[in-house]
Amino acid sequence: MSSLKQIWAILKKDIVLELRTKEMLISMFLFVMLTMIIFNYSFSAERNDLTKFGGGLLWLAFTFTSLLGLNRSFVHEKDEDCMDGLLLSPIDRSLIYAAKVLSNLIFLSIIEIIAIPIFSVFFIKYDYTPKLGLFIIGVILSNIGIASIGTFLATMAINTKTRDLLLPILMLPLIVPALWAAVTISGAIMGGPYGHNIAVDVSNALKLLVFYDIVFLVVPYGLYDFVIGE
Amino acid sequence: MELENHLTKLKDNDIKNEGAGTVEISVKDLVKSFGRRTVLHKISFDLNKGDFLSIFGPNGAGKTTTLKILSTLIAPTSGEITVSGIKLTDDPTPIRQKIGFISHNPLLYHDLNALENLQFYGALYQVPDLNKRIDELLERVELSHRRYDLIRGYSKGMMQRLSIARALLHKPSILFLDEPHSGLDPHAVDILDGLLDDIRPEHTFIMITHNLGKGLSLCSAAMILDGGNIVFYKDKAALNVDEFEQTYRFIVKGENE
Amino acid sequence: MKTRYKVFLALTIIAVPLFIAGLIGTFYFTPLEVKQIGFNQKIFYFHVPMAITSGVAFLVTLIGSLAYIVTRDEKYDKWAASAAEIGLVFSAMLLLMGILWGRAAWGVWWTWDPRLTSYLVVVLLYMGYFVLRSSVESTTQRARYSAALGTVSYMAVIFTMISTRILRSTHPVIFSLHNSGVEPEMLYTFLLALFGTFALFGAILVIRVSIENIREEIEDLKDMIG
Repeated sequence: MSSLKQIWAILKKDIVLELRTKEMLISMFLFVMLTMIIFNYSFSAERNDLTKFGGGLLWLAFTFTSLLGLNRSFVHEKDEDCMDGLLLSPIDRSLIYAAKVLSNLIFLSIIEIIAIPIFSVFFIKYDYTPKLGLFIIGVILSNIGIASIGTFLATMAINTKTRDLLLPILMLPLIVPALWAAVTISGAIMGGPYGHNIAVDVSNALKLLVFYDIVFLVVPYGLYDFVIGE
Repeated sequence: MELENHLTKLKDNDIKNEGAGTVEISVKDLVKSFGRRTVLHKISFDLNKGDFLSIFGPNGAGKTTTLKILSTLIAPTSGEITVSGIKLTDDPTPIRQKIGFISHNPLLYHDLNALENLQFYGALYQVPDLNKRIDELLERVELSHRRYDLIRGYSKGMMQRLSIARALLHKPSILFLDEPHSGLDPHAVDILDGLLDDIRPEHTFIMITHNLGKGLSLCSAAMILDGGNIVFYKDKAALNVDEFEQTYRFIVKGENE
Repeated sequence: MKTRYKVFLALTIIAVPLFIAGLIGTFYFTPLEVKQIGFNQKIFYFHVPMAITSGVAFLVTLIGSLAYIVTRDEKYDKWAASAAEIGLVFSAMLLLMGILWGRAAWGVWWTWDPRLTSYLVVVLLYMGYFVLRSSVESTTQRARYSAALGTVSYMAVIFTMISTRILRSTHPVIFSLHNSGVEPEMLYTFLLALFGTFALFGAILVIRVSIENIREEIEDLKDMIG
């Protein structure tokens, strides 16, 4: 119970800070909208019908958008030197990780809740609402993968010389398996009615994603104390 | 001379101390290395409940490292340390609950207001009756009227005052002060000193400072660290100010002061 | 210090004849594969040992990282980083060999074959490891971060391998559990090359760690001079 209260305290603080400054959400939103405009230019010859490529393009946009948020996630702690404040307090360091994963997850999800309908209206000519549940599960699982490893790496990146530049270099190769699964699931569902082969792919991807999420939540959770202390 | 005045003044109303005799902080053979660089060479000292230790020394002497180790921010390489009877290597969480840390760095979120900052830290420390405690402390550091203002707009002195409130929020029994006076305006210094006086009896203090006058007048024991070794350590009663000053100037020559 | 050079020397002396024997075996004793791939199948005798060795190298990095996490002894960081370096070079060469082979066998410079793709990801992963190392100055912090990244990277390697294997691959499979058509010459040649590569890896690893130690001694001496 008390751990939950501590996690909630950090989470609430992050949300209040973000609602006040809006730095992160606005830049993420702008970025996602800009990628869509670029998609429009790139695929106008296809009459903007990206039904077949929807999964890949969607996650291209979300991956880079998530980097913007992840890079911001420790900025207050770093620039205002509040990390020591957190570390001095009687909170298990792993809970700091849990709280930060949650806040990153929330911010990424907010952007996706706005962006996915827009993307679908703009580019997807197939009505995938019957499979919306599965689609959402896929998105949530993928978000967990991105947020879990991303938060872990962002903690390290912010404390290096290169700071924000380092995160994409470290994170992108690490999330390839999760991205592959994300693209497979979203792509299959957005891409129209699918047969048996694709259904097998989707279920494999879902399984892989679940394992990926578990491993990349548990290992960083266990290592966080080691990483964050000196 | 000013120092002497401070000392005699303190000798008159020597506040030390009800809980005397119980060891609050015990450091034995503390070694800290960062890779190949050893910054603390087997230092040992004990503090009783109610003691006030002032640590002096040049930059890079290991003062801040010592405080960071005692406050569980960094792990010692070796050595046995107990704080309030709890071994540092055991679960550090109860130790953190007992420690308040005031540094020159306020540890406050600039885009939160005073109230939100204190509520945040209060929740982390799970302070009971939080709002009442916050009111009390804001009153004490004279910031009640600014409680809804963002820290971003605070002066350095105000931030530092709020930082004091932050450090006292969970009623710690041990206070670590890392150059708390640096960069403060006189008003903030007065508030800080007043507060320290108020809470003096039931707390144990370690203060790092370059300010000889403040450090000596407040302390019950003085220590000089140099190159990771304790080169001077005396109780206030046994302390000769001139001798101390000589040692200090010899070690810190060329550095500040 | 001295024994380390002896180990290095011994491993080198083992590696060279094994390599030569492996090469001779490859070109003179193993049968020519005729069914589908042809002569360029012979790349297999060094390609696969290198793949295995790079996997071992990254495993050493994982073990070194975990050992550092447990002991906080920086010598394990040196082992981990040195192994990662060799693993990276081996995987990069592997990738290059794969590209050349693909050109010869399939007529294209690059194909998004799952195995090629996964090795490309692995190379990028461990390049990131070294970018991280170079952007941290304090040796303890560098060791700490490297150990953390070395650990999660290995997990990512496993996931990458699994995820790409789920896709259907065009990559040839020479030995498999169900394949009994392996001639003894093939197996022996393969084993010679495999142990030669292992010995080479060991030799480079030992000398690489020694270099790190010497570098550190020099830094110490510099510090002493001031």
